[in-house]
Amino acid sequence: MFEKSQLPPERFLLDNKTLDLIYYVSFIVLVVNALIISYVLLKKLSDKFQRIRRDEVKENVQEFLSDWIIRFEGSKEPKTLNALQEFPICNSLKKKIYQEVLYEEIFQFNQVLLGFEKQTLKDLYLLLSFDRLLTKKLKSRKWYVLVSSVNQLISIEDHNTSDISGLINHPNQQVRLSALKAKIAFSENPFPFLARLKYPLSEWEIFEVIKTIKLKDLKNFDDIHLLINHDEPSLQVLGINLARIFQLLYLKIDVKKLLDHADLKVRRSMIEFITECGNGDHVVYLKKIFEEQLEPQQKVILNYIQEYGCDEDIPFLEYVIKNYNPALKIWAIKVLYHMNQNSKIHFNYLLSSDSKDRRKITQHLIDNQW
Amino acid sequence: MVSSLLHSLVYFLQYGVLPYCIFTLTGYALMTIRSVKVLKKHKEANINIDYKTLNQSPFLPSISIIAPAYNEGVTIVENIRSLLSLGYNNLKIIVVNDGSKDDTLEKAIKFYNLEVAEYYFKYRLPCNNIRAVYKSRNKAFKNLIVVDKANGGKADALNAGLNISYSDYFACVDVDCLIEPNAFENMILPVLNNPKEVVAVGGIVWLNNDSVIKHGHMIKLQVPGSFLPTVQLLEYFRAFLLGRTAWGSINGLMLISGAFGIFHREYVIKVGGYNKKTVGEDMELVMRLHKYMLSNKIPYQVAYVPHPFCWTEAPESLKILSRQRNRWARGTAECLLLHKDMLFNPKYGVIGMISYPYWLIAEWMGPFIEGLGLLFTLIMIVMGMINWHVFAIMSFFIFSISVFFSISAILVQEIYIGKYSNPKDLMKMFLTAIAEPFIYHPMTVYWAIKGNYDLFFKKTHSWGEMTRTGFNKSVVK
Repeated sequence: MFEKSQLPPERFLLDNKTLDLIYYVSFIVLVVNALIISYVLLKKLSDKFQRIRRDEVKENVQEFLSDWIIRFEGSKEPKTLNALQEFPICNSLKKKIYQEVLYEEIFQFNQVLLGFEKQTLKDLYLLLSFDRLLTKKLKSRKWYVLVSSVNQLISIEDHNTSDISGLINHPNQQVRLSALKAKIAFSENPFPFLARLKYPLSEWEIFEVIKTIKLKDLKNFDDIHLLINHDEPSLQVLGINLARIFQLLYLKIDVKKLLDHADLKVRRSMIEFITECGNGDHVVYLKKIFEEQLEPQQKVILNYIQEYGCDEDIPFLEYVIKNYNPALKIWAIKVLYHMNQNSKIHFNYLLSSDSKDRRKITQHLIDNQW
Repeated sequence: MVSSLLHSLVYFLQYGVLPYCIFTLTGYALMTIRSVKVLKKHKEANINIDYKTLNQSPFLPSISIIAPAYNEGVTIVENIRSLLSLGYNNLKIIVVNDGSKDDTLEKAIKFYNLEVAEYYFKYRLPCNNIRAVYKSRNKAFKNLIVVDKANGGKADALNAGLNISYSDYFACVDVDCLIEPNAFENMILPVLNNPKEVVAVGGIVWLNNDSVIKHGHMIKLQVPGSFLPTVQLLEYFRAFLLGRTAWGSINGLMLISGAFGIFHREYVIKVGGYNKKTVGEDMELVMRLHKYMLSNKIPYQVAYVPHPFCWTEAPESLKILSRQRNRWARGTAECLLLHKDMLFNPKYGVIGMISYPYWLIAEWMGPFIEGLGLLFTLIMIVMGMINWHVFAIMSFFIFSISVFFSISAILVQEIYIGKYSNPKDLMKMFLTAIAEPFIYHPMTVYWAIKGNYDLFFKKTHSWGEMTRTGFNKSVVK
């Protein structure tokens, strides 16, 4: 047996010194394990008690907020600190936990309130100097604090608290997006500064921007051309989608240029735009470029033909049904079914055609209409 | 003579085993550090995302869930109900009955009022004969498609589903899995947010044994009552939280669980769909996608969302667990062999230079090295040549380190995911972590070696049957 003293040091990597070291390392790791276990269990218990305490405070705060709104309902009385002292919660508001919960609850309540009640709540927010707290939070180095603060700024419609322009080009995507939404929410004409963005927008960001613009009662779209004619494709996609959603039929757009755009998403958005807001002028051209498109673009071209196509386009649809992949075949047969009366007759003809493939595909549409 | 031979073996092994230990432990440590960073970022990011409005986005890609079902008669109705209740706006559910011998199809037909529909498709991917495609007469189930086909295994069923699907993305889901209602909104975010082609997105799969499930929804999550599923949950913590989170962050993910993941349909068809000849079809597909995108120099991402969206039932008997582990070991070996040209091939970037070598050394070779160590120790004990002092210190070291990684995984779960609210659950996990190295780990080593033996010497390629107890076991009616 190898005894401690008998280890042949020249042949054995683990000499007594190393073994001692391994022993101490193992012991330390074991202690760390015990500390982690203790920490997790204590944290669990402490979280549980904190949650219970917070729930109690939340209940009191919610009651106070309701009373506050009812107290000033229909009244022009100024909201002062004296008025605040009428409420039993006043003394508790000196405690940090009450302030934190009240701050959060104001934003929660704010989401469901409108008009006068919303203003009463905002007055309380200003009375308690929460705007200063928000300004402080807007200088945080933690990006997620910045995001939630900007969102709170939008929610409370606090235009004056802080200039968030600096956050528009923040390295973190979510901060940028929140700042962008705030800037749009507070701006009369968001297009010039959107056109000055220094980074491309992702599809998610485009959706969020569109959603924010839709919430605004925007009247002036004159500057939307700054986006549609931009060099950055994602901003062009944003501009075209906005033009489609707001049905800006009067816009002078170089349709052909955008239909030939190198970016697939710009092309797709443009076809969608002319399908919803255009006329049938582009059927011939779209059929010509059909071949070189990818499947998503080809589908929107087929949608365009469904909207504006005529009997002359039936052979083209026949060609797609014969030569393209199953997904496009189904799409083309759907167009045939919906385009006009004659195309529907042709659809019925295919239903009894000699070709099994065509019979199957027409039957597919009938069986899968919903 | 024997003594001198064993001395020489010790001398030889220490130069192989010690660097191996250092390599794997460093790997685990780096992955843990990386995962903590990624999970922290993910948790912070999630606070501010409104997934409800995200679901209204016109940019949402369409997704088909492909759920292969084989002999799932006991649970099929409940499982389909659970899939139908998912909130994603642009979703189709394709259940593929892979020639079940029980009443899986009949039950689905009866409950969901299905009828044979004319459904146009092409066999773009090879799969066994598709006998019929069913759709429901009830408009409430308009997104449900049930495919009946001849038995061909999971990969074959997934290929059949892919032939039927026309969506932008598809999700492979085990039909018995429970999916969180907002899973797909979360999983699709990397697709909407990434300028590169996102060819696949993986998510965390966890275990729901003994949890309370009602009408296909998780009501109360708890740690399983018995040792075997609990120790597997611990393994899942380590694999999904510490391992895959780290790999996903460097685009080095080689495996997206077959139980839950979403894939770009057209790219999967381009690479030939699922490979029917391997039992590790999930890993093999991801490797092939990496290979295709890298070979064609298409900027891409295999993304990973470190959040549990899918709950599955862990085997509760040793027999079924051993079969599962045997299959995983065979799957790993098959995939590594099939794509051996990727090893240390700079053309394949992170995959070729980091992920593949790591899988080969730590995942595939690991059980052999551990097995050899155990065998060698036994021989030494039997021959009375063991140095108990060295043995005790090394065992203590291995024990404390392995417990450390398990406990770290529990800690990370608690801080960044926090799914288990009861302190008793955590205590149970800690005790399991302490017992695992003695009771469970040697078994997994044996199963992995046996899996490789079966693959290379018995040429076994089948899946074996999995008996499900289903949600019903834990359902509160």
